[in-house]
Amino acid sequence: MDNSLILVIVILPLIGAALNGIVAATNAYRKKQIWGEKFAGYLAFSTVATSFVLSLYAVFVKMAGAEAISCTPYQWVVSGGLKISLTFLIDHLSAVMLLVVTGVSAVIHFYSIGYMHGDESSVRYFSYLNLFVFAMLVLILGNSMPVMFVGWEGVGLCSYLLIGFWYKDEEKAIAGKKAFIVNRIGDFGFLLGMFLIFANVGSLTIADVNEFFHHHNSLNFFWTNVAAICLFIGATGKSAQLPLYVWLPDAMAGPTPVSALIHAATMVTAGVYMVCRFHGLYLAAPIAMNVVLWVGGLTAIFSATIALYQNDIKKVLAYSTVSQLGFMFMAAGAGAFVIAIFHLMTHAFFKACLFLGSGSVIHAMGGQQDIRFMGGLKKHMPVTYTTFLLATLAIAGFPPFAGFFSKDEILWNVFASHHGNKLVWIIGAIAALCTAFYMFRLVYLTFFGKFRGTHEQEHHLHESPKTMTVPLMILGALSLVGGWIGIPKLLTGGAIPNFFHDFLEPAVTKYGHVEVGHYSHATEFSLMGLSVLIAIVGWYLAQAIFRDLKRELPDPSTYTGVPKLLWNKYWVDEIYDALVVRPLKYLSTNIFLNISDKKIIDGAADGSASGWRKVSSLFAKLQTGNAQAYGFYMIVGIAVAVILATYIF
Amino acid sequence: MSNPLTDFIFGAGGFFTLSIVILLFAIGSITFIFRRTLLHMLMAVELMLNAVNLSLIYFSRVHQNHDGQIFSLMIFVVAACEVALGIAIIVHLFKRTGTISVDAYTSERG
Repeated sequence: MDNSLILVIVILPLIGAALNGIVAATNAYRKKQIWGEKFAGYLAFSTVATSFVLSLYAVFVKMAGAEAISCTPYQWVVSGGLKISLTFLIDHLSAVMLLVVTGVSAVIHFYSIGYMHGDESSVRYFSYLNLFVFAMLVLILGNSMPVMFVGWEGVGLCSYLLIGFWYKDEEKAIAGKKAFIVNRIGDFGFLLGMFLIFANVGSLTIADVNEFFHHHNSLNFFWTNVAAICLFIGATGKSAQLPLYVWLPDAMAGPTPVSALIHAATMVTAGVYMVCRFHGLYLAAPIAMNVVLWVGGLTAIFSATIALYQNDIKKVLAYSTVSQLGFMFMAAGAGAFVIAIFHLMTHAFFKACLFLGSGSVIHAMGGQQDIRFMGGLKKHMPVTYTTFLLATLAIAGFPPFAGFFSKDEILWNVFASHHGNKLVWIIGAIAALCTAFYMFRLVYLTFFGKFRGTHEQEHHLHESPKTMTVPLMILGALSLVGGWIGIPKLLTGGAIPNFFHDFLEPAVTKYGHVEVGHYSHATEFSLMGLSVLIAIVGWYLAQAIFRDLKRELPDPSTYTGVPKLLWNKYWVDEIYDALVVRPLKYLSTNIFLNISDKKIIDGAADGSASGWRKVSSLFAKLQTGNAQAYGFYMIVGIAVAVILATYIF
Repeated sequence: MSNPLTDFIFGAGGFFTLSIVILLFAIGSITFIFRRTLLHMLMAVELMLNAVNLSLIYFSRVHQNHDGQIFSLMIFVVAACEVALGIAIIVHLFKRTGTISVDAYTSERG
C-alpha cells in the first residue's frame, strides 16, 4: 500500500482520542492527574494539525495530476454477492472536504485550549473532539456507503456527546438527546435509501452507484427518485433542513467551539457533501433534485426570518447556519455542485469565525449570551470585533469577501440553471436580505452603542487570550480571502483562473452536469449587482435601526403579530411536541409500557414462574426428610424400571 | 473342569449363587428401609454392595472375562472408605444429638 498515508491521516485523531479518553477516565477515577488540560489540548491539536499537514501533502503532492488516490487496509465484509472493503478514497471532492475539515478543526482545537481553560473535564472534551474529527474523516473518505455510514453515525454520536458535554445541566443533556433522536430519524431514511440502492444496483461502492444510475437512468424512474429522496431525508437530519432542523438551535447548549466546529463548519455540511457525492444518482432523479432545491430554499427563508428576532447571540448564529445550509442545498438542487461545495467551504470559514467570535464575547461577558445586555464591546475587544466584522461582511455578501462569490453564484445558478426555479431564486434573494439584516443587527447590538449589562460585567470586559484571538485572526483572514480562489470567470474575463472550479469540476461532473441557460452578460452582471444591493440594503436597514440604540429593546413577551410568530420560531417545537412527541409518549406509557410490557411480557414471565412454583410445591411434599422413604422410592423406581426394561422394551 | 463344588456353584443355571445374591440384596434393602438405626442402615448398604459384588464375580466367571472381578475389587475399596467415613459421621451425630435413630434427622423435609 503506497498510499497508507491516507490511513495515517484518518488514524491520528483516533489515537489522540484514545489517549485523552483513557487519561480522562483514569484522572476521574484516581483523582490524580496523569496529564492536565494543557497537555491534553496540545496533544489533540497536534494530532489534527499533523493530519492537516499530511492532507496537504497527500492532496497536492501525492494526488497531483491523478484523479484519485485510495487506500484499502482490509476487506470489511465478504458475504455472498456483497463485498465491502474498508477503502479510503481521496478524489477532488473529498480532497476539498478533507482540507476544510482538518484545517478548520486544527484552528478550532487550538482555540479550545484557551476556551476550555479551567474546565474540570477538558481532557474528556478534547477526547470527544478528536473522536469527532476521526469520524468525520471516515465519513468524507469512505469509498462505500456503509463506511460512509459508520462515519455518519460516528459524527452523530460525537455531536450528542459534545452537546451534552455539561451533562449535569439537565437542559443541555436534553438538547443532546434531542439532537441524537432527530438525527436518528434522518439516518433511518439514509438506511432505507442504502437498502433500495443495494437492491437495485447490487453494490454499495459510491462509484458503482453513480455509474449505475448514470447509465440506467430510465430503467427505474420511480425507485431512483425514492432512493434519492430517502438519502436526502438523511441529509435533512444531519444538515438541519426542514422538517428536521429543530435540533440545531438547541445544539447551541454545547461549548462554543463545538458549535463552531460541528454545528457550523463541518458535521452539518455532511448532507451537502453526501448529495454532491451521489450526483450521478441525483442527476438521474429530477424529482429528488427539485425536492432538494425547494427544501433548501424554504429552509433558507424560514430560518433566516426566525433569526431576525432572536436575542441569544448563539441562537442567531444557529438559525443563520440552518439558513446557509439551505443555500447550499439550493445550489445542489440546481445542479451546481461545485458552488454548493464552494459555499460549504467559505461558510466553514466565516461561520466558524463568527461562532468563535461569539465564544470570545461570551467569555468576556462571563457567560451572558443575550445581546440585549451587550453593546459597546468594540473598544474593549478590538480583535474580536474586527474579525467578527470581517466574517459578517462575508456572510452578508459584500464583495470581495468570501461569501459574496459563493452566494452570488448560488443565486445565479438557481436563476439560470435548467434545474433551477425563478420562484426559489426570489426566496433565496429575500433570505439573503434577511441574512444581511440580522447579521448587522447582531454586530450593532453587540459591539456598538452603550454597554447595557451590569457594572460588574463592564469592569470584567477584556480581550481574550492569544490562544483564542489567533484562530480568530486566521479565520477572519480566510473570510476575506477564502473566496478569491473561486472568482467567477465573468468578473475577471479569465485573467485570473477560477482555481476552485477547475479543481473540483472533474469530480462532480463525472456523471453528467446540468446546463446553465443562455443569458446575456448584462443579465448576469445585473444579478450580481442585485446581490450587492441586497447586502447594502440589509446593512443600511440594520444600522438605521440599531446603530445608536436610544431606547431599550422591547421585552419579547410584549411582541404581537409577526414578531411574536418569529420570536416563537413559528411554534414549530410546540407543533412537533403536540403532533409527535406527546402522542408518542402517550402511546409508549399507556400501551407499550403499561399493557404490552407490564401486562403481556412481564405477565408471561411472572406467570410461568409462579406456575412452576405451584407445581413444584406439589412434588416437594414427597420430600419427607426421612432417608428411609427415599430408599423406598429408589427401590420401587428401580424395580419398575427393570420390569419395564424386561417386558416392554 | 468338573468337580462337585463347581457343579454346585454353576449348575442349574447358577441357581444357587444367584439365589444367594438375591437373598443378600433383599435382606439389605429391607433392612435399609425398615430398621430405624443409622448403624443398621449402613450395614444394610454394605450388604447390598456385597450382593452386587458377588453377582459381578459370578458373571465374570460365566463370561470368562476378568473385568467383573476387577470391578468388585474396586467396589471393596470404595465400600471400605465409605464405611470408615459413615461410621465416623454416625459417631459424630451421636455425640451431638445423643441418638442415632433415623427419625431424629428429618431436616431435609421439602
